[in-house]
Amino acid sequence: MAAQVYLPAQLGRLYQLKLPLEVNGSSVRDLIEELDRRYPGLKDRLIEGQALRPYILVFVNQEPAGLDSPVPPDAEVRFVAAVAGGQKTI
Amino acid sequence: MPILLLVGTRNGGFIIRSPDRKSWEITDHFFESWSIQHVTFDRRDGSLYAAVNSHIYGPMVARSTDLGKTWTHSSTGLTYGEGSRARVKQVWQLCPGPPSRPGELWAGVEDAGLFRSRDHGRTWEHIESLRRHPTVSEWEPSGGGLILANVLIDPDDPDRIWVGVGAGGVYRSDDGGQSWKVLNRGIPAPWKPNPMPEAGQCVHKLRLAPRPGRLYHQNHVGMYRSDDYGETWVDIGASGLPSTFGFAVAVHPRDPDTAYFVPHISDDRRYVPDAAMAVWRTRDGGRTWQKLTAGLPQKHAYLTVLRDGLAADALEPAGVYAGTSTGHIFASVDEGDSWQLIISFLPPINSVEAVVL
Repeated sequence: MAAQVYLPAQLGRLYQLKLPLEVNGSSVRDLIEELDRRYPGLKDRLIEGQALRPYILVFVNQEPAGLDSPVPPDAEVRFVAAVAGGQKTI
Repeated sequence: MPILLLVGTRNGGFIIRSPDRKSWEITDHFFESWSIQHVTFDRRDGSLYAAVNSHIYGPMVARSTDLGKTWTHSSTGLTYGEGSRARVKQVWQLCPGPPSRPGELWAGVEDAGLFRSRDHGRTWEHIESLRRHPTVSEWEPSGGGLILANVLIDPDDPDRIWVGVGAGGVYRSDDGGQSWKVLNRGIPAPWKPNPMPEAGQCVHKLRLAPRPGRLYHQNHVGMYRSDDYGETWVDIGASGLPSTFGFAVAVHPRDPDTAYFVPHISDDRRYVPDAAMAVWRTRDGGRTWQKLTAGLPQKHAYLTVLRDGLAADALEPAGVYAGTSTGHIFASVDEGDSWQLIISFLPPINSVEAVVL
């Protein structure tokens, strides 16, 4: 089964998405690549260079995860825009 | 004749339309929750381009081919690459290329640098020659960051390009961006150990006037004019103005001697003097100034007009528009003699551009 992927509302509006999305992939990175194939440019909104953007967090089944984290079948994957105060970098 | 105001704000872009410059209506709000530094019109094919930014999701450039109803967006190639310490944090300025090169679009970004697209903004290439200039070591962030917020192309020579960097100075290429000449002669940068450096000046706004070689320049330290393509600058703010600090410039569409500035008190108190809004106009290239206040708020107006917040249209007589940090737009249809508040309570305004359809 595909993972259930939740994106921040701002990105949902940008691509006019109905969340969650069903996405196949064995790692978080795979999911992002698949998302980018479906919605060109979405990868650049989540990743800068080879890393997640500084304010983007990802959780797999509610556990903090990274780009190389495995994604089990049926996983719930949430990309979250971190709330941080007043600084442009964290 | 229908006119559009293209407005970039901290919370999306707006299209404001008027059939006659008497009544105005907001017709579109796009990229809600994104900061739009600049929206511009491409006369070659009627496209709109927007500089769309988020400190979370990064920058991108958007294009609309239906005057703002729908948009596509991309940031492919808007990067300095893995090996660079510089990051593309925001797109600040967009400039369509010449008619002879359809699809060409230039972007000035933070951290300061210049990018070019040859396919209407779908993909971008970094113009590395600028950041390789030997004076780049003099660049440092200004209050808005280290930003390239000015890109101008000479209408008489599409290979002649000016850029303005805050704080870095004015540069010009005469070969389409392959090489650059630094052009800050006569402009100080008093915060530097050498207050008259070759580079490092803080450019707020550059505008081309409708006369070959003439530019107006609002710098952090004053107002300047060049009549020789930027080779030398004349201080035009030395007398008659309450302050020479400000951000924006607008230039009359047909009269190269007429320009508009909005002085602010100082670089630490960034609002208009006495909290009374005034646009200052010169009719003689900066030798003398007129204070224009009719219709502008004269009490408790703690507002800022940012670097792209002042614009002129191409009608006769020329219209002038001022968008404020308080989300208001004031318009004049008589070249600045009188003003009217036409739009209120937008998000803080970054840019205004007037397009006669």
